[in-house]
Amino acid sequence: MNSRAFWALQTSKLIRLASLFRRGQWAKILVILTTLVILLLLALGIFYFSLTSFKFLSEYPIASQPIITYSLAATFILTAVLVLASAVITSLQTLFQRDDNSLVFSWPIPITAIFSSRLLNSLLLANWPMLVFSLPFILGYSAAFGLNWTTRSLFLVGLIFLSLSSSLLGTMIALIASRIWGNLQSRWFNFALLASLPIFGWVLVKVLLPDELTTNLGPLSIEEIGTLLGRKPLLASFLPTTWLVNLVYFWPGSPSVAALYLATLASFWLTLILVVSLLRQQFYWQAINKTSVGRFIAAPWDTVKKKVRSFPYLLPGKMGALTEKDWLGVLRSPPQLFQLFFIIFIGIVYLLIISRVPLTRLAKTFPTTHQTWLKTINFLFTNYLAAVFSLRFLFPLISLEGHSAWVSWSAPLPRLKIFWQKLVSSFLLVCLSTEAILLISKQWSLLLINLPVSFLIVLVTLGIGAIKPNFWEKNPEKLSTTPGGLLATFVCLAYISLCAGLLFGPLRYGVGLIWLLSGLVAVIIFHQVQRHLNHYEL
Amino acid sequence: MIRVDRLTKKFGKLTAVDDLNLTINPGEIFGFIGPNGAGKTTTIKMLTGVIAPTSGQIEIGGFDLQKNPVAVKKLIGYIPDDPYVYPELTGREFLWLVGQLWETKNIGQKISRLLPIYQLEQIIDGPFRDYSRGSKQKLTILAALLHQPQVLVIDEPIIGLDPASAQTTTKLFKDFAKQGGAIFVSTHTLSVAQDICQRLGVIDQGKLIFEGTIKQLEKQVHGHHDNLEQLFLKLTRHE
Repeated sequence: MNSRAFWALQTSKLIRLASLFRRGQWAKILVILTTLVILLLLALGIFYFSLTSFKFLSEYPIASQPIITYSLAATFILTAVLVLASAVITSLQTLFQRDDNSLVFSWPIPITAIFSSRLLNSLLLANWPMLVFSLPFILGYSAAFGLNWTTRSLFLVGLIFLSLSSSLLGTMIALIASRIWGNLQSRWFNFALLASLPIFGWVLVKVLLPDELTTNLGPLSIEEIGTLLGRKPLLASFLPTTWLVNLVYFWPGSPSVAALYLATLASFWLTLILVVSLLRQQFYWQAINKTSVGRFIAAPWDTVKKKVRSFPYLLPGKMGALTEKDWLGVLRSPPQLFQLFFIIFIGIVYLLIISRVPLTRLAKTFPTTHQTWLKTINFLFTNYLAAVFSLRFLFPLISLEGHSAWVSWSAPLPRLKIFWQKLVSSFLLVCLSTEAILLISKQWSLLLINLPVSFLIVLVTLGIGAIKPNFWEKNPEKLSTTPGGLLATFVCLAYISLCAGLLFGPLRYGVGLIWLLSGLVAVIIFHQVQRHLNHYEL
Repeated sequence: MIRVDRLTKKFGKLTAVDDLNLTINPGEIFGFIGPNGAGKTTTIKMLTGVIAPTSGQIEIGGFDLQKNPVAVKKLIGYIPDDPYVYPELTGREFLWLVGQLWETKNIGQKISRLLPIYQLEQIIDGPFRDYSRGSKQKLTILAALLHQPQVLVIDEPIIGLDPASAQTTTKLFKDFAKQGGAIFVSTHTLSVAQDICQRLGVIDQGKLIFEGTIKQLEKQVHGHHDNLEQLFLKLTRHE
């Protein structure tokens, strides 16, 4: 019964996918295919980067060994952290916060089958950093050094095992947290989590960028970096990922070492599986009950009259009320909040890395071309992060008004004004964040040009969300992967890359051209938004 | 108070509402009934400015909805058939939001006066997603009344309400009309329509096939019938 139910649930997903073809839903099919192509291109890019970098390193035989061990260990750590965080977020969404809970749990199938089916989805979704980043990186390394197939396989098994273990660990964290704290909507819990992000980030960066490297970086040659990394035991050396790398790297081809390696991996993996299946029996149903039943049922009568707080809390008037309503929609929804935390965490890690790298000394030491590269990377990272935030949180804003259209569209307020409210509040948020990143990374010359770039990223995502809304989808996460979301992604990525080309490329007057380009795109988007806003069919 | 002139709405090739003409006076409750997919909700969405008509004119309180939508919307209170509200807001925050959007004065006091109507005080500070269907419906009714509108546009007012709350609601509407407000109510609960409406409009396949009092309806379908349901079935049966 259990396995039959499990496979029936899995098959239902394939049937839904097949029905896209049967019903000729070409827009959705195109979205899926394009997303796959983008991910494939990204993976190919990382493979190429890894291949060329390791080929370059191979010219320095003495230095390359510690550098390779270090970079592989760092890749493994990053994979583990990203997959773990991704698994916590995905599990909360996939295992608990589901619209079909009341339907699925009324079916005559074991709860454990539902859990297993959802767990499989969660694991597949959570392992994207491994598939897109780490796997091509390791393959690039293997190709650069022409490793034999046994060693390659051992590396890949190690990576896949590490990634799957991290995702299982993430699922366990989500499961236990949901069992204990239900909807995870405690203000203190979320505040503590947010406050601990810089600490996690600091530890991660300390592992990734050892002191010896950052204090000497600049005048060092490749050989010296290699000697430094090889000489002193770094914090990274104490982590299991480095043992893993060392084990494979120094593997002499002995069958007994290989057997030990595989047995260690298998036993750890099996232990995790065992723990998760125990939790499945003990926790899942209880956790589902805790998360699906509303936290709030009714307040005692004697406390009722004390609560007369007015809304909005911070900002004035109707625009303030609309803005706070949008923010509360994110801050009070655990899956959305954790995705926001994830983006904040990436930003913190980046800032910590940037602040540990001695930029001023590097600027004096490195030639102009290297400085330009540094600026380009900084500009690209800052704006790609802004684009990821905007696509995830700003693009769905207009579509999300659809279900509450009886309030927002019937209110005595021009729709364009509602659009402006979202645009201005979002721009302030994005602009302040990106300016802060540029300030901390000491990129003074980019502060002014960042204004039109941030504005256009916000306008493109919000605007395309208004031009191509989806008023039937209630899940903001799914909204970002609609054809409109994909179009916004393309436009944003193309715009940021073009801006980087104009700013740091050989052309003169790049800054002026960015202002001109941004103005032109803004006019087109505004014109289209105005045309569409008053003609929604709900 | 409400004047609808040659109102038409087309979705591609489908004509959802076809050449609709209506007039509703102050103090009048007008019932709008019809089978599923007849065009009732589309008409309501056009009346409240949520969607734009393909052609025709809507005038409320002397203002043209197309030319002066903000002035018209200030006069309307809208109760939808699906009481979906931003799930992460509490009931109180939602009422405040509505009060702000409609530029209502003394919002806090008005909320305190409205809450006892359905005894919502105990749940009003809980998030909207935790509310039952009935509680959501009650809150949307209160939200519609908060800015003291002159016109109520209602889509299925008592679905999900318990009998006592349904009774409170119908009394609320009657009082609203007594004070000079106009109500446009669409419903499948024909007993409610029979109880509160002075005039009825029956829409079928986008066309208004009847407009008048229940007595006039009886005349049109030849003979006396026990209730509105029998009249409705006879009028809309396609044989």
